[in-house]
Amino acid sequence: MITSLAFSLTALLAMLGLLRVWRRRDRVSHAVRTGSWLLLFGITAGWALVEGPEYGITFALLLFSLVAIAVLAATAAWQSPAQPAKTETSQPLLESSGGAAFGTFMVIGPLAATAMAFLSIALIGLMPISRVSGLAIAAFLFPLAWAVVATIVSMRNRKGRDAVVLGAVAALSGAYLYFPVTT
Amino acid sequence: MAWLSPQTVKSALLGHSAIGLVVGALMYLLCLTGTLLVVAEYFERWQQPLIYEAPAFSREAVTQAVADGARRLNAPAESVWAVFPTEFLPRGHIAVVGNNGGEQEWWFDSDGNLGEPPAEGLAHLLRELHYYLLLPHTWGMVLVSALGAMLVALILTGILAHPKILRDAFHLRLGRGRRLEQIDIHNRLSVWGLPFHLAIAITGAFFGLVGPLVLIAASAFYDGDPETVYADVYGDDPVLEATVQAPGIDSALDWMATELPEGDILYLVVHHPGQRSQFIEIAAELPGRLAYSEIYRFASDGQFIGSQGLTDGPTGRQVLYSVYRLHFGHFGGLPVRIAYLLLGLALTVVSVSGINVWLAKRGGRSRVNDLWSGVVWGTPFALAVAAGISLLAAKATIGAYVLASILAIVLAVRTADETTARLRLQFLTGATLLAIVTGYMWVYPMDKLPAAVLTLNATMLLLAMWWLRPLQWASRRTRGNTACIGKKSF
Repeated sequence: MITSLAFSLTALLAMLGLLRVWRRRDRVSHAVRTGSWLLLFGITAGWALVEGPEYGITFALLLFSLVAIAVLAATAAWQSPAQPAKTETSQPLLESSGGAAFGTFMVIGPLAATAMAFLSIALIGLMPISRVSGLAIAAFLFPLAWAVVATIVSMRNRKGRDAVVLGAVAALSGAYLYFPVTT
Repeated sequence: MAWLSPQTVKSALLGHSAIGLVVGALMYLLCLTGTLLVVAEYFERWQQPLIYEAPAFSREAVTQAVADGARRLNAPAESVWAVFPTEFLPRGHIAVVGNNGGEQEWWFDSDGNLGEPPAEGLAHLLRELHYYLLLPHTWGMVLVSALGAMLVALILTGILAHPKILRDAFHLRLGRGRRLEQIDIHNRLSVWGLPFHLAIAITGAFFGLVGPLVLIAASAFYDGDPETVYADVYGDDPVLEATVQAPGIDSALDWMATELPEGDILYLVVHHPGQRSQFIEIAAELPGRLAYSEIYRFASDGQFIGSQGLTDGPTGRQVLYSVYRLHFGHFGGLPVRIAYLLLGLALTVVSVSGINVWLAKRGGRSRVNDLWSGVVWGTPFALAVAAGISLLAAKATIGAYVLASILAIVLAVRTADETTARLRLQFLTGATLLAIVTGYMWVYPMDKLPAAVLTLNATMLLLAMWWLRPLQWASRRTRGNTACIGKKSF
């Protein structure tokens, strides 16, 4: 309890330090910033030592997020709605909606999922690790890879070319899995 | 991130918007229900507040309850589960799984007598929504996990689309116009909640997407048998042959108490009860470990066989078995639950503010604004209605939720003004919560209610008072006379 309280107060101190110097460039600010990050790192290491790495690192990350949001809420620059607000410009619907990107994502998203699922499993066979570890890696690699590909595809907005590339990845991975070359 | 070209930033923003729009409403629903599920046990206790509670049960009670449970199933049982009390759910319950897959459950008391079955009320609805979006389970879970992967994509595109997101990490401007405010809230909560959001997204994606992966792995490496894949990853069940006898629960619990006093027993299973292949498993949470549990196996007479290696086996197995606790915050006690509640709420706000930003940027208003208002404010209303119905007829909870959701959306669309729709739905939610708490406290004697239930009622009462506060209505009425009412919403 006392440890948690000490870590929480230290995290608050570090976060206030970061807030104070966040966008400043002078030497003192640099020192405060470095010190604050070191404090946060120290809390993580300390908690990992006390509670074990699994709990300790998780506790520290949760605490930093909460403290930062609390600091942010407490120091928010609030302006009464009665004062004139900054003029907001509206954009036409199509320009801001990313309608084309929406369509691309809907079409290519499922194909990307299929390709990444096959690729993730195919990589197990290529990696010099046990089957269990390979499957564990694939279980996390698949959603991550799908997310990265979905990101790239929705940014590029080139349906045809991306469909061909993803189709090829799925076909090659499938061929590797189901028609292995034996020597 | 000055190395990003303006074109890349623009593309990332388009991608971010596109993915956000595809998943927006469902993501909100998942975030909200996930946040509430952090305290799922409280809802279970609230549903049936007078069930016997104790921090621990005697082994005689457990043995008696297991035997009684096996007897009550009018068919051969595949397994009998005795679930032990925990800090958040200090109740014992028995689940019997029949050979045909059917399942029956009962709470049990200090003497091991079986009582009421657990009610399928609000906690059940929240799980059905968060795990499956009320769809058939296989497809629902895949869809929910796909949304987890899309949350990862949203995080990536979000970082790429906002080159100044780190520089402005402490810059929160409230009250300076709706769009600016929503953008700041969205970006600041996103950046400071990033580790939590990533952990939730990746672990959430794992649960359902592992199914299709297992099918591919099974067809490629395991002769098409998915069960072999699971056995390889999580460890196989022992195959035993012994004379038929009463399960040696006493001996097994003795071993646990002697050899593993620091282990916190979660449940005990008697597999194939009354058969030659009978064996016992005890799952225990180990201190400092995120793995859901270690599983210890015992022969029919209670002699220790070995453990499943979930906390000391292959690294991959340990990692995979740690996903559940990390996703739901079921570790570290009450402080972690509170942290998950707050950060889950923050993620819910991020999902709503993202669409709000898009609506504000779009300019003007259309039916989409009303629909979104109906979804955002209709969901708490529907959950409140479902909570009330669950107390009267637990089986009707899901139906009540669906019906109330539809009504809320219809109300919002017919109102055709998101501010008025929001106020109406908040009023309805507040009134529903007030009615529920009043009725609840009238039916159940307060001195017999556990602290968790009282806390939940107090929270509902506070929410009701907040949404019914006269000040809100007075100020809105005044503002309603101005022409710009549609600008402030959600």
